[in-house]
Amino acid sequence: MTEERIATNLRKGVLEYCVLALLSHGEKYGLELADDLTTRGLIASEGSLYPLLARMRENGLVEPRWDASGTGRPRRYYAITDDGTDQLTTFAQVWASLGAQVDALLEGSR
Amino acid sequence: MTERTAMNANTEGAYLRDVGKRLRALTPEQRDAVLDDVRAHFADAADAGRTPQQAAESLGDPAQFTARVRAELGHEPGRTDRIWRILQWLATGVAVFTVMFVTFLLPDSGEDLDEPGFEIVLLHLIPVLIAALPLFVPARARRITTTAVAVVLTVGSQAVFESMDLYFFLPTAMLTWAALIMPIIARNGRLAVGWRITGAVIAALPGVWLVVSVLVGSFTTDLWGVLWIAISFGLAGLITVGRTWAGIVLAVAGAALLILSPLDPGMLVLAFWSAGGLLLTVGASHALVYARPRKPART
Repeated sequence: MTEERIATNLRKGVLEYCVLALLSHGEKYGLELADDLTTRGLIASEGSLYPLLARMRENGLVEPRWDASGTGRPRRYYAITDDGTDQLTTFAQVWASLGAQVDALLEGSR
Repeated sequence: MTERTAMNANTEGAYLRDVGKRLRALTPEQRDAVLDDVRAHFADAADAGRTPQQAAESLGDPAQFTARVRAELGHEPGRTDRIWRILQWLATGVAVFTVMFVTFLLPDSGEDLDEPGFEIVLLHLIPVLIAALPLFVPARARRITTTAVAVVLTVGSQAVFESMDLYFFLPTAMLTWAALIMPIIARNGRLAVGWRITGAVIAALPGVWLVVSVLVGSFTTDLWGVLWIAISFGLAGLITVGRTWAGIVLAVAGAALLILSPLDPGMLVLAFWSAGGLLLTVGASHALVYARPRKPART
């Protein structure tokens, strides 16, 4: 398997938790989220973020709202919900133990 | 409005219209939320100094973008398609069986039926061809064709044509209605509780029928009768909670009733036949909607 294929497969499983993690630091609008994820190499383009947000919204992990308080035009912000925070906590635990195991295996195989 | 901003508004408007059109299968709330995302994306991109063309490009073309949305929401595009296709094939299969049934198996109930001649068989094939029609039209014309076929079969099954009892094509009509309706009401994955209860009530009918027969004294029941009632009510319960195999059992029971009804050449043939068709329709619809979905592909 090529490096890209491995990375793609791994990203699929963790992407929604990365979104939750980003939102746990404060609400963000779509493009902001997309740029952040793209810079980190987690998604290729915005085209895969909005479909993911649609599912996370449907599952009650994130919540959008139009914010018209600023000067200019209203912006659509996404915030993490309580359920989303719970999911993120659970993921952090799983990731810590899974990551440790994988690391240990990789250390051993050297 | 300058020429340039008009063109920009066009890009966004066209993209939104295309996305809206391709997400018709979603609930209005889901679709509106996605369209809001796209609107916000174009506005944010403009603020960041990108052109609408660039904004549209980064989302991918509408077909690809909406396919991803549907996949994430569990709307595997093939899923509702599969429900429709299998029900329509079932309708066609039942129509073929109906032809054999009416031509060869139906006990001559005193009407002077001629020998089952070749022309009669050919005449009977017309409903089969009608039932199969939606399977062979282009996808665009499918819904309208299925609707027309369902109406024609329903109205037609009320008619008697050349001493040919078209009423027996009612199960075919029922399955065609199911092929039309199920993909729509099952587009969000599972069935609303009202639909499940409707299915359960129909699944419970054979049990209710026997209980009533016993109560009014037209039947005395034995162990088999009790078992019959228990199975019928049990299936109804399992259908309410959305078990796939309860639908399969119900569909098989319905098919068995269709096949066995000519063996009891009483006044009840027609009643058993219709009941068999109804149970087959409800059971198959339920099983298809609750069939284990293939994992949606993600990108």
